[in-house]
This record gives sequence, structure tokens and C-alpha cells, in this order.
Amino acid sequence: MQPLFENNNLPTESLPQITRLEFQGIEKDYAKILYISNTIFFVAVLVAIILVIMLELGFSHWLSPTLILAWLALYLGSLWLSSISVAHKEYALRQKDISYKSGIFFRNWITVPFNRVQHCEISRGVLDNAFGLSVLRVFTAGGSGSDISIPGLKPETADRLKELIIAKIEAADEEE
Amino acid sequence: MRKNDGSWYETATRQSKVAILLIIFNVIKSLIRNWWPILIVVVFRSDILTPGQGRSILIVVGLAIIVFSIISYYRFYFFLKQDKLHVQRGVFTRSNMDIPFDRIQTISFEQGIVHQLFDVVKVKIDTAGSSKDEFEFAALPKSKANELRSFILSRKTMQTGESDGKTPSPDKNLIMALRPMDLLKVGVSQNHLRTAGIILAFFLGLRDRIDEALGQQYVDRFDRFAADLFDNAFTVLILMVIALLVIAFASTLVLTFLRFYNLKVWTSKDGYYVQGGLFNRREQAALNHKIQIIRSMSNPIRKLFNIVYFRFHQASSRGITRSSTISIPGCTIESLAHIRRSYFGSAIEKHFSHWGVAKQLFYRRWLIIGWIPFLILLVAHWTLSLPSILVISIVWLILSAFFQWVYQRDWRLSVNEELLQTHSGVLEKVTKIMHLYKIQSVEIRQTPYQRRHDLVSLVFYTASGAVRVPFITEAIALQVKDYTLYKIESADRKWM
Repeated sequence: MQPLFENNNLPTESLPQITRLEFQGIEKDYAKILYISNTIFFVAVLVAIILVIMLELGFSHWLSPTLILAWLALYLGSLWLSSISVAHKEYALRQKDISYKSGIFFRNWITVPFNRVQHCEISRGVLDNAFGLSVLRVFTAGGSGSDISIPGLKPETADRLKELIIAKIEAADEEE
Repeated sequence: MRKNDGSWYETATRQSKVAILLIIFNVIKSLIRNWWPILIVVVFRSDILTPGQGRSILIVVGLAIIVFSIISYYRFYFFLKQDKLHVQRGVFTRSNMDIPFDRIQTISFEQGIVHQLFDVVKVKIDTAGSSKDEFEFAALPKSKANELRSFILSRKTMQTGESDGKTPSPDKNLIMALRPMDLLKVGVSQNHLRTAGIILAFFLGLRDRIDEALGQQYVDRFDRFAADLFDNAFTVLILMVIALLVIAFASTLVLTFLRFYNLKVWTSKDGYYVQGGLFNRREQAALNHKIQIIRSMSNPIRKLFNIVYFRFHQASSRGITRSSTISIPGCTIESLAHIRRSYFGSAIEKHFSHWGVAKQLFYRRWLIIGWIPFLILLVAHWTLSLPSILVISIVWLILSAFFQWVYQRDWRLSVNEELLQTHSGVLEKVTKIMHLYKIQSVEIRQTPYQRRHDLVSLVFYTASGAVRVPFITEAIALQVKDYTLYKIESADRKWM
């Protein structure tokens, strides 16, 4: 492939290449959180469906079992996708930036340089607490689309990453 | 720190008395905005209130508004002390506010008709921080406002050693001024279809709101009227479309004159200053370090007039949700080149590498924009058997093919050592240019369809919006991403 920039004293082949990154997976336990939140949603909608059936359709109507079966199929499908999606969420740190990949079919891969990070925090929901996991959030000035949120991290890992990123931000600030 | 020359701004000062009038206006405006469905009901349905009741309610509400406004005027005062702006205000709950000068980002003036009559200005204070610290003086005498601004900015400069503010520096140069003739060109070359859409949406929205406010019987009458029109049909419909376009054309022209009357643009070493407007004269500043993207929009009519619609996208102190843009319509090609050269410097002249986007983008967009509506119209044709629908659907399929083909053919991503540029559009050509180092993060997205063809979409996030590049070759995207990250990470310049 021909070089990108002709008037460039730094040939692009020698740039740090992001394809050579070693990505790190998240904890497999995160799938359980997804299962539970999916199940809560499934049950809530199921209750609504049953109510509609009882009040409007009646159980003998052909639509009633169809609706329930269809919803059950969607639920099982979502569980299956959740279990795969965990393996597709991975992150990587380099000296000067952090990358996060996610998505089974529609894949996203976002990279945020440390000198553009606004702030960085660890958040923990009820379910995260139950399974001893943390979410690392990295915020930039580029709006919500450009923020990174890495779920399913061990608290120690999340803390370590946060410390590291904050140290990097401070280092970058001093340079400026 | 306190100086002892006893300037007026060191003691508690109220706004100009005109402020009472303006507060009354604002209260009435916000009342109408929030309660207008109820007002319509009261006005149109005479059975709810007798005229006598109506009059007394009006008097009571009117008096309440006036009393409220006067109290709110007298409860508002401000003074400057120890490099802070102190403000006290509030009718029911009193609030005290301290704004340190170094948190003040910009101080801008605005003048409506009333302001111009009494020679006062509305002063907006924009701070770095949460939006609750941002506020406005409804009216200050112009001379006092100027004194206030220059005092705050001079103190600020002493503190930080850098000048940063709305006041055009003395060394500012006028680079552009719109004369009425230019304004006419701008008005004619605006996107009239968009105005037509807004007008249409407004009337459709109005119909729903009337529905809520007046009840079904009025809407039925309206619909019956519309149905009658439809019966003797196509000619009337075409007449309505023409009428809509004429109204749209006239109103964009009027709006353009109101908004950009006597528009002037200055440059200085800190940035660009824009002033304009007929009844409401506004001045805005685009400071170099806050500018993230510059964007120019061209269309065939503008090309004929040799002008573009130009826009600065700035990062706002409150981040992306409030990012501000400054528009300069009727910017001549020479002024455009001048602004680009003065903002980007020599970087703009460095050699750009260009890439197009893949054919698959055309297939995808034609499928969604062309074929899906076509198939729906085809079904409608079979069920209703109207020959006109068949004609429309075929015309649509061909037109959309042409448009999407041009869209795909003309899309360009260009990168040079310092800058990134995108160029896209069919009739309205949009060019965006930004410094690579001002980008906040880079994302690569891939759908299953793109994966089969080794394509991706690239998204560049900036502090004033994202720039998306659809359907480019994966290898190129990776190279551009690597280079962009390298430029960001090795940059030590302030991006905002």
C-alpha cells in the first residue's frame, strides 16, 4: 500500500499500529448480570402479556399461546446473545490511549487518547455489587457517543485502570 | 485588591429601569408559551367565561404580572468585588451568586427593538462550569455595560496573562460586510424546501394541538374541509404545494433579512467577531481555541452567486449539548479562502490525500431510500389501483438512484499532515475541515454487510459534534485512525 502522507517526515508504516493491540476480555461473570437483567425485563413484559390475555383475548384465543411462545423465543434468543456478547467486549490500554471493542454483529471499536479524557470514574449498580464487579467509565468532551463504559471488571482491575488513567491525564496536563 | 476610586460598579447597582418593561415582556411570553392551548379554548369557546369574567381575570393576571416584574426588578442587584461578580436576585426565593472573573468565558451584548429605543443592552455572561452559573442582565445602559465588560476583562487579563473575551481587540480587521444586495442573494439561495417542511410540520402540529384544546368537533370540521378539497383533487393539491413553496420562499427571505441584516465579520489574533441582525442585533465571537470544525455549504444557486454559507462550530463551556455555532451566510469564495488561511495557517496548503467511499454505500442507500418506498407505493397501487401512484413510484425509484449514485460518487475524505476534511452532498455540498489534534476520540464501526466487503464506517468525535465517514476500506480506515491518534497524542497545543 502506498504511504498516506507524501509530505511527511514520519512514514505511516512506523506509526504505532492499533491492529497490533493485545486486547483483554472482561469477566465471564458479567454474563450473569445480563441474564438477570434480561430475565427481569422478560418477566415484566410477560406479566403484561398475561394481563392483556386475561382481560381482552382469553386463553382459548389462538393468539394467546402464540404471543407467549414468541416472547419466550425472544427471551431465549436474548440469553444466547448475552452469553456471546461478553466474549466480544474487550479493552486494551496503550501508553497513550485506551480502546474498547464491543458488538457481535454490529461491531464498534472506539479509542480515546488519555490527553482528551475529561474524567474517569468507577460505577457499581446493585447487580454489579452482587457479583463483585465494577464498571469503568471514561468521559471525553466529545459527547456521549465518544465516552467509553467498560462493564464486567474486577474491582481491583477497575481501580488499577482508573488510577493509571488519572496518572496519565495528569502527566498529559503537565506537558501542556 | 479593592480600588478606592469609588466606581459605580463597586456598590450595589440595579439594572436600567427599562428592565421592568423587558421583564414584563418575558413573563408574558413564557406564560403564553406554556398556556396557549388554554388561551385558545378561552377565546374560541365563549360558553366557558362571560365577557365580564374574562375582563376581570385579564386585569388580575395583568396586575400580578406587573407587580411580579417590579418586585423582581427591585430585588435584583449586582456589584463587583475582589475579582468576583456578585449578583443577588429572586422574588420568592432569594439567591446569591458569586462568579469569579476567571470563570467568565465570554460577555456578549444583544439588542432588541426596545433595547435600541432606550439605548440599553442585554448582557449575557457565559461561564465555564455548570449552567446554573450562567445568567443575563435584562437591560443595562450601554455605557455601563461597556465599562463593566472592559473592567472584568482587564482584571481577567491581569490574572491569567492571556486575553480572552468578547471585546474585539483594537487590532481587529473588517473582513466582510453584507450589503442589502448580498442579503438578497443569501435569501434566494437558502434551502426553501426546508422552510416548507418546517411550515408544514408547524401546521400539522397545530392541528394536533387544536385537537387537544378544542375537542373533536373542530377537528372534524377541519378534516371535512380538507376532504372536500381532496375530492376535486389533483389541481387543488398542486395549487397548495405551489402556495406552500411561495410562502416558504417569502418567509426565508424575510427571516434572512431579520437575522443577518448588516452582518459584519472582523478577525483579530484571538478569533472572529460577527455582528448582525435587524431588530435584534447580536454580536458573537468565535475564538480560535474554541473553534473545532469549520463548515461551508454550497448549492447550485450559491455557486452561481459565487458565495457559500459558512459556519464555525465551537466547543461550549458546557460541552457538546450546548455547543454553539456561528453562521456567516453570503461568504464570498475569497472571504472563505481568507478565513481558512487565517484560521489554519500554512496547514491548509499542505498536500491532501483523498479517498472516496465504496459502491456498496450506493447499493445500501438506494435500497433504503429508493426501493423500500417504491415497493410500499407499488402495494398501494395494487390495492387502490390509482395510475398516478405508479408513475410517482417509478419516478421516485429513478430519481433516488441518480441522487444516491451522485452522493456515493462525490463523497471525499481528505487528510493532510495537520487537517481532516470531509466533502459530501448532492445538491447541497457540505465541506467540513478540522485540526486532527482537536479530535476527541475515533471510532470504527462495522455492520455484517460491511464486514463481507472489508468496509467500515469511521467516526471522529469532536467537542462540537461527530463527523462520520461511511463505507470506506478497512485498511484505509485503520491507517487514518492510527495517524489521527498519533497526531492527538503527540499534540501539546490546547484543543479548547
